[in-house]
Amino acid sequence: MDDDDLMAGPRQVVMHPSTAAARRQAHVRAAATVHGVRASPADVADLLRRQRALAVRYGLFLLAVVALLPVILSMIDTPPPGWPAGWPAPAWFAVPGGALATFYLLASSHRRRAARLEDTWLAGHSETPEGL
Amino acid sequence: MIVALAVAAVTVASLVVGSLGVRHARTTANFLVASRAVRPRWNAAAVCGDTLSAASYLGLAGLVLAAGLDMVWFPVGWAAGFVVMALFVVAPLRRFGAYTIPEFLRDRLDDRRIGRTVACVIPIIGLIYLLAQLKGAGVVVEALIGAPYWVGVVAVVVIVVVNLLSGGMRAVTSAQGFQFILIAVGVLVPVTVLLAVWFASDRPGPQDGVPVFDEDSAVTYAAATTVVVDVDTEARVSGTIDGDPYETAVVLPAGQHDVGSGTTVTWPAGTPVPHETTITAVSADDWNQVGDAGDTPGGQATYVAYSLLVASAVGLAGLPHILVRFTTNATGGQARRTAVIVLGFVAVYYSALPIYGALGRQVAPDLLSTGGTDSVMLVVPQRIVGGTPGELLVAIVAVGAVAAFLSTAAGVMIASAGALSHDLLGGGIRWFPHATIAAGAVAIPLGLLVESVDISILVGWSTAIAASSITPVLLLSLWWPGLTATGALASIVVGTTTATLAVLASVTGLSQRSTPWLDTLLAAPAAWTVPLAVVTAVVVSRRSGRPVAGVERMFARMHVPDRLRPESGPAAPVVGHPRTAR
Repeated sequence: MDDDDLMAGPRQVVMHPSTAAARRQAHVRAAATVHGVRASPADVADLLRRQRALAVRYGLFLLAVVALLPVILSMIDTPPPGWPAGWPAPAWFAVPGGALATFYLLASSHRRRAARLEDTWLAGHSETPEGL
Repeated sequence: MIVALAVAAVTVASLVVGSLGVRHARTTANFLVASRAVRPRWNAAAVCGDTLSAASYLGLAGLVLAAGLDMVWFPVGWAAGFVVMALFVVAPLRRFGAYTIPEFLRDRLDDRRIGRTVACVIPIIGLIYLLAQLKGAGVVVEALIGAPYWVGVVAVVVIVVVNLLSGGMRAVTSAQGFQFILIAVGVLVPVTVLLAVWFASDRPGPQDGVPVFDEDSAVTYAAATTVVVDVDTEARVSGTIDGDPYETAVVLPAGQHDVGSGTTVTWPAGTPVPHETTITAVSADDWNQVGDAGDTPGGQATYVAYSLLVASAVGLAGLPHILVRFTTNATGGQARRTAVIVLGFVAVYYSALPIYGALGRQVAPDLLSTGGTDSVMLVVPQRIVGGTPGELLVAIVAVGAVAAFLSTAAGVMIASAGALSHDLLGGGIRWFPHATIAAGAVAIPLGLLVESVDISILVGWSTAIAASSITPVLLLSLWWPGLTATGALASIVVGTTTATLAVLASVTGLSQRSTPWLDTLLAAPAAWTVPLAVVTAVVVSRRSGRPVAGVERMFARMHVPDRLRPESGPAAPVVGHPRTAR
């Protein structure tokens, strides 16, 4: 199925995650009314596309960092002259440490942008139920 | 004595903290996902407790001591795995609302075969990972208090089983968060003191070439060991060498020598440190740079580096005991925040660990000779500080080590027991205690069998299988509506089989009889088994007909923001959980 297939069909109600979990309980399953959320499949498909594009963009950046790391380190043919205070070359610590810091900044930035994307989607999302 | 008391204290404290975290552990949600009420910071601490295992705590410092910069691929890869989780996995997985990974895949793909297959693969991955923790426990308890290896193995299994039976995930969450604090203190406090002492004293700089003893050094070989002596050396021997007893000075010609258990050899100053046969003597230049082809299988260092990165990054994102931790958050957004906090924690932790290896190369090169590189963190404080302060530092490190293998063992056991009881036996929490006890009963004898197997081999095996079996299917099911049950099943079978066979060929030495390139490919398989599993899933899915019915509802569940205002409506038209909707 292509993503376009997600856009087909009428508006549907999608359960809130806590409701979905609660529905596993037999007593809730029998209830006539449930707590859920409404979302148009077309809106959801659009949101999915944007979330996926964002995650893939950050994923490619991660891939670039990871792919470049062995290359950068292999370019350090010999330790720099002099080991400060009897310690191994700064590159030894700086490069892996730098990579770990980059990972943190990458994930932190993605979290903020993903939250903003979802906020934007929510702001434009119609809360007027259709078909129910 | 201080160390033994500290180990006992952390064990008791872990049990007490775990029991305090239990209030109403009666339902499946209590046992498997801690009622989904864990806040991001505490969950991040628990995730770190789950992730920072004996392999990373003790093993990484030991690997850096033995092989140098090449080994930083492991922490970089593990940290990259959390980025993969933050970008692609945790939020949609949490929003879907499944209790376990098999349940998620079964409901997402609407196929019971997938659930059962994954429920079989998960305990295998978990068991191998658990064995690494048990090996670490046996080694640490043996080194710290002189108890036999089996004591550590049995003690860890018993403690973890008791903790799990008392309150499942709720108990484990409390204990793991607490244990992570101990782990962080166990790494950061000693390393800060050691660096301060090191810089304050006028220590000699690192040596060029291979490590040498800078003074006459008496080395005791607790177990029978085969060492490689690089140059003819006259050493004083008290014990047996090559089967002959000595109590005098002996000239040992260059080459391999069998050193008897309990033998003490006094190596003269200036002697290159004889290295245990599984350790390659690495010069300062090679130790301090990446891509030293000489000590990698098949000599393809760059390929091995990339494959290690793939295995650790993609494999971590597929380790079930870590994935299920993110299902304990209240929302998908909180799960994403948890992953970011985890990255902050592990960045500090992973930056500190290699320092122990670097210090060990300066003050404890004899570990290269006994093969006890895994104990470098426990040895270095005494060598640099000494006396009671040194013993206190060792106790702090030991407390962290005990916390590391207790917390990871608990996480692995709960993921495996959850998969067995919830997805394979289908009995929810009714079977959870039985599955937990069964997992413990299987782990103890196997833990005793792996005494001679390297921790890093066990961890590498489990991450390679996870990377090739779970992660590709997980990522595709979260982001690609076209994935079918048949495609996922084919991917899991191909990924699991190829990764397992490659690791077996490498571990048994079969791969070394082939060409150098094939040896390399089998020793580090993730770089080709992971793409193979992805291609299999895509090709078979495209050829196996239409995707899962109602896939758009599932994608809405996974990707609609948590903050969408809930409404009430009649039950019939509501898109619910796939099982309740049927």
